[in-house]
Amino acid sequence: MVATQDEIRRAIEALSLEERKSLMWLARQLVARIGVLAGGREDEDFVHEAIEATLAGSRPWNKKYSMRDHLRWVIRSEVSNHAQHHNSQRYQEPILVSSLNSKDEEDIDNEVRAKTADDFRSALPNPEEELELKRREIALDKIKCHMAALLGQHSMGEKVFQLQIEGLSGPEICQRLKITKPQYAVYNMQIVRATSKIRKRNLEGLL
Amino acid sequence: MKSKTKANDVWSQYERLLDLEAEAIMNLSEEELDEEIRGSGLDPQQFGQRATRVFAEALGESAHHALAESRQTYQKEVTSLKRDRLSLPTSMKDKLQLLKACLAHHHYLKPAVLTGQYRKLSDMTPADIDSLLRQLYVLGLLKFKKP
Repeated sequence: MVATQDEIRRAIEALSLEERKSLMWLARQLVARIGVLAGGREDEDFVHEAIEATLAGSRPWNKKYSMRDHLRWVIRSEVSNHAQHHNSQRYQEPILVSSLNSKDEEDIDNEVRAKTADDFRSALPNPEEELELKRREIALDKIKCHMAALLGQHSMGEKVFQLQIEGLSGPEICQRLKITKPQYAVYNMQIVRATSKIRKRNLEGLL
Repeated sequence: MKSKTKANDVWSQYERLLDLEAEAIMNLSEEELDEEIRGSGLDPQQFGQRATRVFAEALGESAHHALAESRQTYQKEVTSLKRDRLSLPTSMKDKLQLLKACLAHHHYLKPAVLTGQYRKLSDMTPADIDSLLRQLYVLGLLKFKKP
């Protein structure tokens, strides 16, 4: 079901103006959500990258899905990967004078040196990471509250939402809550609608 | 350890939230999308033009890459063809004769050589004849008993 380069090109060229616009808008919104982790990259960088990766075959397009859906997933994944990579690269522990000196000492007397705390990377998150974490934590709490208000406190919709953001798949949620696939589809649609409502209201700039 | 687990939970839950947002954005109708774009202070028409440009650029660049790649392959083939030592006749008349003799011997080559571009061998440029003879040599098709 994997397409040839020619098929991919034709499918991308066939995307309507609205589809192109919505993909660009998606990239723009996701870039805004990852904040400083975007590292100066813009929406168009991610769209460009997604198209190139699809054409080059590093992100193979399964013809079972529409090109619009494929590019949507690629953009989403590229943004996420970039944020993770940027987060791990941007902060480097300063080289401590003591660790520089310890190397010289080693050369001089060639002694076996016991490792000190300086030799290990701190397990604590760096300040920027902590700040970003806090920002996300607050956003999550607020979204959960708004979702509960929109879907109904302790309602099945809210339970599905909770399990979704905990990372459970559709079938796993069905099994856990003992609901059928069509029921799950209804709750999922409710959640998507609620997300749209929160976005529309632009509640405290959360979503 | 507990705070590390909590941090991981926050990061992964936020990721799920972004998935939901992506789904919500892709479910927007044309009017809703334009309304959102307008709400953020942008002009939907201009935003659409920008999207069109980004797609065109990405497609164009990829076509350039493909062209550059095929050029590179072509150059490699030309270089490998030139690397083979070949003593061709020096005059154009002799080269054409050799080519005609080759085509007479290998009838099946005629449709591949005499195309819409070159209906007669005499239409071909000296460089094309040289190149063709080299290719035939590499393929071992110049080794035949001359009539």
